[in-house]
Formats: sequence, structure tokens, C-alpha cells
Amino acid sequence: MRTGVIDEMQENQLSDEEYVIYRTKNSHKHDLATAKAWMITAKTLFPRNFAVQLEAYTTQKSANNPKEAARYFSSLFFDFPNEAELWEEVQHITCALQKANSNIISQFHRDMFSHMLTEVQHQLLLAMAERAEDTLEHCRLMLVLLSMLPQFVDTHGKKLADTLLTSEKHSHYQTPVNCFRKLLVVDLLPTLLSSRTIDVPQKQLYRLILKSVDFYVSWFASGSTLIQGVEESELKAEEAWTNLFKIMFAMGRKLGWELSSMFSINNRELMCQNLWSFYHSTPLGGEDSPNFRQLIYCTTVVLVESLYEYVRKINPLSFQIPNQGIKVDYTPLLLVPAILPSRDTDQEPALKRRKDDSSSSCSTLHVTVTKGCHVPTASTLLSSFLTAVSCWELLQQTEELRSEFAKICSHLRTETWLWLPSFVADVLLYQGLYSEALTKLQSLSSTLLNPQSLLLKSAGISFCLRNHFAATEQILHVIADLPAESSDPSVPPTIIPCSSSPHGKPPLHFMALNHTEIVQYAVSILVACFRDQALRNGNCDFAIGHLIVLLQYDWPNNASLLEESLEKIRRQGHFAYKLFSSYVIQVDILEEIAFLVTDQGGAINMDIFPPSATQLATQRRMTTRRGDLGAREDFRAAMKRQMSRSQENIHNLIVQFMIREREAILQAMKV
Amino acid sequence: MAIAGSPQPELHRMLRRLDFPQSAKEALACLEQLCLPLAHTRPPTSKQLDYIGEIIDEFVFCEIDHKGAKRKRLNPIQELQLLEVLLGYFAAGEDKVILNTVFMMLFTPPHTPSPSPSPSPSGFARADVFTPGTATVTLSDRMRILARLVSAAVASHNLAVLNCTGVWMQQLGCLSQHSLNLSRVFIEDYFVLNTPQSNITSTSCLEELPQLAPHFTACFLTAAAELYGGIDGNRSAYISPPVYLLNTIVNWVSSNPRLCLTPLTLNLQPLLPKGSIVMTSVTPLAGLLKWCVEAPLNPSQEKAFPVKFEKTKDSKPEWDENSNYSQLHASLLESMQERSVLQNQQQLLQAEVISPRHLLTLVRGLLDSCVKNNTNNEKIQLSLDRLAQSVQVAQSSGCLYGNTHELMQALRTLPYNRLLDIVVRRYS
Repeated sequence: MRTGVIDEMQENQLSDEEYVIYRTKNSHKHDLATAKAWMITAKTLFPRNFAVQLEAYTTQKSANNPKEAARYFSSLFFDFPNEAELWEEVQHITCALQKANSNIISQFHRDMFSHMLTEVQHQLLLAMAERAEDTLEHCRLMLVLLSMLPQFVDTHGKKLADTLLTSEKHSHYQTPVNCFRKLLVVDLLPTLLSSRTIDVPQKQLYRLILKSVDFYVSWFASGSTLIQGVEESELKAEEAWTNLFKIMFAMGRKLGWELSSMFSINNRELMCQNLWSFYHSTPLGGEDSPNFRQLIYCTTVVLVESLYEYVRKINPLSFQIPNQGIKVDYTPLLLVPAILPSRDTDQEPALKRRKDDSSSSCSTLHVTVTKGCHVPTASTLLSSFLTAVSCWELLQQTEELRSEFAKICSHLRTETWLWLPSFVADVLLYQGLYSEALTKLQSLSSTLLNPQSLLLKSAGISFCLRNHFAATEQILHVIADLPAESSDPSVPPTIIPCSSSPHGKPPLHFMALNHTEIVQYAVSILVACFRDQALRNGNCDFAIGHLIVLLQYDWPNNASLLEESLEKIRRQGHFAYKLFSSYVIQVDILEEIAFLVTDQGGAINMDIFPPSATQLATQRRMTTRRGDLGAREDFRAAMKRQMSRSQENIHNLIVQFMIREREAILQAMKV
Repeated sequence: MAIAGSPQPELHRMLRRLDFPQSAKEALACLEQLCLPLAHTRPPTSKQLDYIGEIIDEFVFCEIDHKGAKRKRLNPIQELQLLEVLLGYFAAGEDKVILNTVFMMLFTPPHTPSPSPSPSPSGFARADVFTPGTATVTLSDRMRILARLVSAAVASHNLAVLNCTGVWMQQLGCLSQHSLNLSRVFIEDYFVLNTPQSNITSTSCLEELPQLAPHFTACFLTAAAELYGGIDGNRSAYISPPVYLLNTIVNWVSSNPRLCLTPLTLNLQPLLPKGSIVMTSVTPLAGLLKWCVEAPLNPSQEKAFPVKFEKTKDSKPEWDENSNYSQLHASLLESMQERSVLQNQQQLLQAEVISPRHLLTLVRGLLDSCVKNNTNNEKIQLSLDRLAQSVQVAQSSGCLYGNTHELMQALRTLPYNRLLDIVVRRYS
């Protein structure tokens, strides 16, 4: 058993405390119950002796008994506030609370903490936070406290918010995406605002709204999940907006804003309607009135969110955050004016706009999206675009709103948002303000919008401004620079679908910036340009010829344009187009042309084939002049040759046409 | 005996028309009506008590006939029928005061001896404990039926009877001869004749008894602790508690740290008939601590639990038994610490938890044992360690109430033990 003669002698040297500790430690060797009895005895015998009390705690800890340990630790904590060993243990506990570490010791510390009385938990975390030498560490510990014990937010919340704001101001961080702001916005604000009893001054709340928006937007715009001063960020893009909406909702509750209740509905269209109906039905008052404030802040947040979603949808590379890890082969989209290739609007829009312009409702449906876009993505794209536009328009409604929004913009430093000017151009386009849109576009540096997009968009706008020459020039430029790539034969070339807008706003279209769609759009623009050019009065065989070549691309769509062209040729009685043999291979069209040559067709004189070697020898031009039978035979043979080419890839042929015949095309446009 | 001309004979006549056990059932219903005013308004007059007594004697226990003459004792089948009637009556009752009043009326002990905290074992020879089946031999019929009723209540989870019994024991004194006798039958029924090997206990609620009927369990523990071990230096041989009883108590106390303090927190006043005086409760702590301290010097003679021996082939059986006592001892220390928690919550009704007098008798007994065991210093030291620990924790937790001077003096007379020395120096 326990004592030999030597042990006994050694025992006699021990002080009372040492003896009891010695026996307590020694008793572990025998059985747990004996050890427990000794421990209880030791604890009660020397309540002021740290070593004895620590031994009692250590025993429970090594027996992995968090409930008992919590009791012992609690009394240690209050009775021996100056013992270094105690603080080491407190440090372990707070570490375990911050990290979801799964090792046994951490788990034990977390369990033990959970068994402590609330007041002990509170004092423990508070004491640890106050001992922290570094402000950041202090704030972090205070946040652990508030997250474990949210009931203390009234006691510590406001002070902590002030500390974080001041620390950020005095820190060296240049960007709002820093650790202090993150702790303030992501970790503290939700808890702070969830308290119904805490009293935060209105001005401070306004400030906090801006700080939050600023943080989240800058974080998104930074193109990285990194937050300065934070080792690893657990912030996720999907949650970030939800967080901001929650903050707005809670802010609104604190400020008595009726509008902010809309942040609990997750539907942009409804939010937009709320904003507009509030604007129409409520007197806004001056800049400091609550109505004015809630309108401007709520609208700004909705704007920024929908703008973010919009930009992310048209070009995910603008914000890299949501893409991290998932490298999706994604084609950027571009908003362009949809081109109506024919005058007759044979297809009525399936859905008409529900409201007139003055309401600026989000339900405008004259905007289409490329078929290459999945339906959910397309509808998100549309809803976010229309919401962003609608909010933007709302913020431009009055001089007061405009100037206050400008202040917010400067506070948020929107000049650093590289994608914002291109959105503004899109808004102008949407509003049908073409010259302004063009000016805005031209002011953009090429770093903001790539030259291809710039040219395509400019071409569409130039066309809308009836500057057909410029439109053509820009289109040809785009096609000339297009990397050589054959179109996918499985995708039949189609003209861009579009519905007309009966209310004056131009139909718009989100095209995909891929080879096929760029060519499609180019052809649409050129067809539209040449339609006007070819069918007006005066001789313009080149324009008619170019139009016929282009019509092949999407044949038999726009067949009526061929009819009109043929009608014009018939009226002229003759038609010369030296590019015919190179580019016209469509069977239907060839047959129509061949028919014109016949007597029934009007025996039109066609000068469309270059002379053959024999013809050159006989000095006979291959025209279709009446009576010249040999020439007619030659013509028929040439037509047959053309027909034999009808299986050629029409897409590539048209691209070649646009590249090789640039001068001829521009020439025809000049006339 | 009936009083002529009063309306009471009506009741007698009505009850006499019924056959047993129906008559007993009806009699209990009538008793309830008679006790109603006593329970809630005023103490009974002696005339009322006599009348109630007559009904109980004649119709419940059938001890006398209609002329007041003694009758033959109920046969075993009738006794079972009576138990069934009693169990049914208490289980159905709602008003606790009425139930306690009726219970006390039914089981007022004949020639009640005054409750004595220090019992004089006059009712039975202590050696009887070792003779199974003899616990009820010396009991009156009434007390025998009560003892059977309690055993039946544990078997049938009849908490109402157990609660009333707890109150009854405290009011008569847990250490009174009646409580000891009752506990002895209970031990015989559940821990001696009927051990885990006999496979009959499975339906009883023995394991959960501390949660189901804490007050009864605590009162029972106080009495049971008194029945075993060596009491005083002048008492006969040391008697080990039955192994199964010891095991059960270890489980009860270690998993219910406040069990032993239950009598201190239960206010009986609202449960008792009007005008009653609540008796001081005695916790099982002192008695059970005595077991733990005495055990090392008095190894059990019992050769029970062959299973346990198999498990620990290498160790000596007495040390296996010792681990039981270690466990009990640690749990008792923890129980004592609960006192300060209860006091902080202002749940304590009585300051005294352990009387220094109780520990004093323990010290005196221990002194004798030490003299007899003087060759085995190791065991003496273990006893003394436990005693010292008990005194220390009792002192620090405030369980030891009153003047401890005499106790400290007595502790000095014991053989030297370092811890005891520290403790005695601390509190002298």
C-alpha cells in the first residue's frame, strides 16, 4: 500500500499542504473514489491554497469530467486572479471557443465552458479581453463573449463598436476591407442590432449603414476573399448579401423605417415596387428627414446588390470571389440594341409592358437574353438589370436625391468600381439616350471595356443614331479582328430574336460574346444598314448585292427583303454586281435571280458573272441581254456552278465577305 | 363499546352488513370523512379518537368483533386482501394531509414509546438480522401489516404509501424501534431473502427509489445505517450490512448527492394534520459514515457475490469490498458538500445535519476496534483517514452543528494519523 518506511520519513518532511497534495496525487494510483475523497478533503482544508485547488481541477480535467472541472475552475478563477497558471488555462479556453478544433483538449475546454454559470463565463471572457495587449485581440475576445452570451450586448455592444471604429481610423489600412471593419460589420452589427433594448443614436446608425455597404461592396469589388489583417476569411459571397439585408432590416427596425421591412422579402421586383410606391406616396421632406433617409439608403442597398448580381452575370471575371475554385467556361454577355432587320413587325411581343414609362416599373420586357443562357441565369440577369436601372432612375428623380446619392457615391468611392461606368452606359442605352450613351462609352478607357465589346455596342448605338456608315465601319472592324474560328455547324445561324417596343424604348438584347453571336449581330446590323441603303431611290446595285449576300446568312428569314430587292432590280431593268459569283450560293436566291433573266421574269439584264476564258477570247460579255442566246447559255452554266456550291458553309462565307470586301461594303454605304 | 343513542351506531350497522374485504374498503371511506375535519381544522377530541379507533379495529384490521371481543388474527389470504384494499385506497387518494392523517390513525403504534434518536434495541435481538424470515416474528399484527404494506408498495410502485411511510417514520423518529422494525422487514424482503440472484426484484422500483420516494428512502437509510455496524463500545459484535444492501446504497447515494439531505429540505408541516408538531429529522449521513470508517477493521464474513470474486481473482475479497466503501465514503463527502448549495438556495429547514454526538459514539467504538486490531496499522490508518476526512468535510460544509469540543477531545485519544492531526489542530 501507500507507505514504506522511506516514504514515511519523507512524508514527515512535508508541510500540511504538501502532505495533503501528496496523498491526493498518490491516491490516484489506487481507486477513483479514494482519490475523490482526498481531493474533497484537500479542497475544503486549504481553500486558499492555489496548488491544492489547481490539483483538484487538474484531476477532473485528466478524468475528462467537464462538469466537475467547471465547478472547480470557476472557484479557481474567482479565488486566484493572480496566478499565471490560471491565465494559461483561461487562454486555452478562449482559444478553444474561437476555433472549432476537434481535438480532445479543445473539446474538453468547450464542454467545461458550457457547464460554467453564465456570470462566470461572462467574467472569464471579459477578464481575458481586458488582459489582451492588442486592440484587435481585445475586440476579437469581446466578440467571442457576445457570440456566446448575446444577452450582454447592451452592456458591451456600443463601446465595442466605438473601439472598432476608432481602431480602424488609427490603423494603417487603406481599404474598408480590413479586420476591424470585418469584426464590426460581420460579427458585431448583427448581434448589436438584434438587441431590442440597446439605444444607438440615429447618426451612428446612419454611419454604420454606410460602413456596412462600403465593406461588403468593396469586398466584392476587391476580387478576392482576403480581408486585410484576417488570417482566413470565412465570409461567403452568398451569405454576404443576406447579411447586409439582415443588417438593413434590423437597422430599419431600430430607426422605425417602414421601408426596410422589404429586406425580408427576397424578391427584387417587389422591393423595387416598394421603393417606387414609397417614393410616390410619401412626402420625402428634407435631407435629414427619416423618409428621405430611408428611401435613399434602402434604394442604394438594393441598387448595389442588383448591380453586383448584374455585373456578375454579364461578366463573372469582374468579381472573382464567387468563381473561386469553380472554373466555369463562361462567355461574357454584352447589352446591345436589338436590331430589327425588317420594317414589318410581323411578330408581336409575347408580353407587353404592363405599365407605362412614368412608373419605371421593373416589368419592362423589351429586353431579351441570348438563347445560350440558361433560363434561371437569364431571368436573374434580367431582374437584376432592371432592378438596378430602376433604382438608378429612382435616385435621379429629384435634385435632392441626386445630390445625396452623389455624396454616398463619393463616400463609397464608386470611382474605383471599374464596372460602374459601363453600367451607366447601359442605363443610358436602356433609356434610349443614344448620343449620351455613345459619349459615355467613348469616355471609357479600353481597360474597362474590351475593344470588341466597345465596338459592338457602339455599332448598335450608331445604327440607332442612323449613322449607318459608322455602324458598318465598327462592325467590319470587329469582324476583321475576330479570331479565326469556324462556327459550330450544329448551331444554325439565326438572326438575333427581338421584339419591338411599342412605347418608344429601344428593344435591347444581351448577346453572348462568342464567335457565332458576334457574327450574327454583325450581319443583323449590316442587313439593317443595307436595307435602307439598297431600297431607297437611285442606283445602288452594290448595296442591293451586299444585301442579297447577307440575306443568305439567315435564309429564309427576311425573305421579304429579297422580294423588295428583286422588285427594285426589276424596276431598274438591269443589275450589275461583280461579287455575285463569289458570295451568292443560296439555291432559292439563285433561282429567283435566274428567273429574272427569263422572259417571264422580265428578261432583266444581269451583269453578275465575270467573263470566262472563251468569252474573253470572243470579246463577248456574259450578259443576259435579250437575243444573245450564247450568253444566256453561259449564264445558265454559271448559275449551275453557283448552285453546286450551295453546300458550302454559309457562316464562313459571310465572314469572308465581311473581311475581304470591306472596302466595297464601305463604298456602298458612302454612296 | 358503541355509544347508544348517538348516530354513530348507524355507521357500525351499515358496515356490519358488509363482508370483508368490502367492509374494510367502506370503513376506509368512512374514516376519510371522519378525518376530514381533523386534518384541516382542529385536533381531535379523545372521544373522536376512540370512535375512529373502534372503526379501525373492528372493520379495517378485524381485531375485535361487534361486542369488542378479540378476534382471530386474519388468515394470510385475508391479509393479502386487506393489503390490496389499503394499497388501492392510498393510490386513489388526492389530499396528502388526509392520507397522512388516515395513515397515522391506522398505524398508531400500540403503547407508543417516545421517539428516541438513540435507540435501545429492545424489540429484537440484533443477531436476528442474520436469521432470515424472523424479522416479523416479534412484531404486533398491526406493525406486521404495515411492514408488508411497505414491501408491497415498493413492488407495485405505490408512491402514496411510501410517502406516507416516510412521514410516519420521521414523526415517530427514524431511529425509533418502530422505524427500525419496519426497515428490518424491508431489508429482509428486498436485500436478504430477495437478492439479485433470486431474480424476483426485476419488477420493483428499487433502483429508482431515491427519485420516486426520496423522503422515504432517506428515512429508510437512516434506520438501515443504524441496524448494522458496531454501535458504541458497549454493544455486541459488529454486524456487516448485507452485500446487496451495501451495493444498492452505494448506487443510490453516489447518483443522488442530495438524497441524504432530503429530510432537511422537505417541509412536513403542510402535509400533517392541523396542530401537529414536526419532528426533527435525522439524516443517514452519520450512520453511513460510521459504516465506512468501521469497515476496514471489520471485514465482512459474508461470502456472497461469487461473480465479483471471479472478476477480481487476484485481489483479496476484503479489498474488493473496500472499494464499495471507498465509493460510499466519497459519495457521502460529496453529499455533505451539497449542504452549502442548499443553504445558498435557502432550502434548508434545519441547521443540524450531523450531530457531534453521533460522531462521538463512532470515535468511541473505533477506539475499541483499534485496540483489538493493533497489529494491522494499515487498516487502522485507512479508518482514521476516512474519519479525518469525514470530520474535515463535515466541518467545512457546515454539517457539524453545535459544540465540537468534546468530539475534538475524543479524536485526540485515537492512534496517530497525520490527516487527523491536521484536522484536529485546525478545529481545536
